[in-house]
Amino acid sequence: MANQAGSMEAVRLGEARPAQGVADANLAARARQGEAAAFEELYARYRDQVYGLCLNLMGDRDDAQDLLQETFLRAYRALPRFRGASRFGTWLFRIAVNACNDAMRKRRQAADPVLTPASPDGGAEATVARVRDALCCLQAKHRVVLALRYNRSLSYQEIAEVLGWSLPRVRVTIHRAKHAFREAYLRTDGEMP
Amino acid sequence: MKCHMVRDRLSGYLDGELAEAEAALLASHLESCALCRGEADDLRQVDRALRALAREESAPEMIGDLRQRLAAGRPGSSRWVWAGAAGALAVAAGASLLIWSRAQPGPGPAAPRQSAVGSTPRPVPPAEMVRVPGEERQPGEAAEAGPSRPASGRGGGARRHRLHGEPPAPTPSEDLPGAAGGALPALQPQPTPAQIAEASAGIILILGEPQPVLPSSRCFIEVTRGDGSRSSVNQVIERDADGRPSAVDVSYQESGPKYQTPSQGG
Repeated sequence: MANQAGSMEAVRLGEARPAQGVADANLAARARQGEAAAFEELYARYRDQVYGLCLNLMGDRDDAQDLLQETFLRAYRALPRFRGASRFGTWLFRIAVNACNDAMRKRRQAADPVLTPASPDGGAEATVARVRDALCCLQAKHRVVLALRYNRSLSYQEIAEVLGWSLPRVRVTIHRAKHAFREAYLRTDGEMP
Repeated sequence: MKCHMVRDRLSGYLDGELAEAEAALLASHLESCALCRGEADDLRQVDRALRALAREESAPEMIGDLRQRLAAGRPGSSRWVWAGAAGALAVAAGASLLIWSRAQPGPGPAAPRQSAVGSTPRPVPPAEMVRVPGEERQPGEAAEAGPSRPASGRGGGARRHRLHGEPPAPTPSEDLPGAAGGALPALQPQPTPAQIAEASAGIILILGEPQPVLPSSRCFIEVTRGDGSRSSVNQVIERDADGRPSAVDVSYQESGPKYQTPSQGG
């Protein structure tokens, strides 16, 4: 049952290498017992997703790179406490969001709130940069729900699991976040795509 | 469905997160309401913009760096885990020291403690074991089952007489929170007749409850009444090798103006 759930997780949450067949929960259990290869496989599965999430939350590639490492370090240290009650992807994204929140808090304390668009030149790149720019103007909770929703296409239920929120709270927050994003995007760009 | 209800649910509707029946109601409303339809269009624009986030970004290859950082600590061996273990060890050591210090006899009452629970109980003059009415019990005394816990000089100690009449000696554990003043001391491991007290009498001193593994043990109780008369019970229990009582000797004595001749019982 656990393996089945883990496989679903790899397809749904991870979208990463489902063909390889080994469930996340299985890999996590092996990594917990010190098998480095299992942890590296988890890293390979989720690296891009965690990096994308951190990039959208922080708006900066260097920060995202640091937070990618930080997320996996925290996950590695917390592995003994991961018992598979939640899906590995959910658990890992929660760690990533927490790491990003910590980084944002430090950034605020350092009075450095201005975020650099990730890639300002080029058509599609420019659009992404503007979107990230607008995202960075939002409240943290709005930024987080939109990043989880659109970066990894998580369902509302999955977002609720990652954030430990109720489903109605996720629904309301996403709705408000979209309105806030629209205003922010119109301020920075002037025209919606 | 009213417009404000529709608008609250529009994001969920566009994201396919509504139940089928609710989505059908909402779709029906949108067909007939231009304002809500306009808001839905705005949200679709937002949706299109935000989909740019789904563009895959390859993370830089950092497994080498990660391996190095991971090598600093295996799962469950982070510095915080070690710090927690060290803290727990320190607490355990502190608790052990506390228990040990409480178990050590003080310089004065050490000898009586040994004799009171020893295999050769000696008769104890009742007058030596009197607690004055109103005297405060020392902190932690209720938890102390020993027959002659070292006494403190505070809280009426000057009026207290111990087994040999020696001055009370403070112990390191006396400042710790313990029993409320005046409460009956707890007996271990089983209650004895020592708990019988006359409320009007005023003074109860309970010394000694046998440890089952000891070959013999003694319990002595004395009650002093308001009129100066006293009653005391001295119980000696002999035990066999298995710890079962083999002989019990109880003596009962009364003295004072009302009792000119002591009586023996048991």
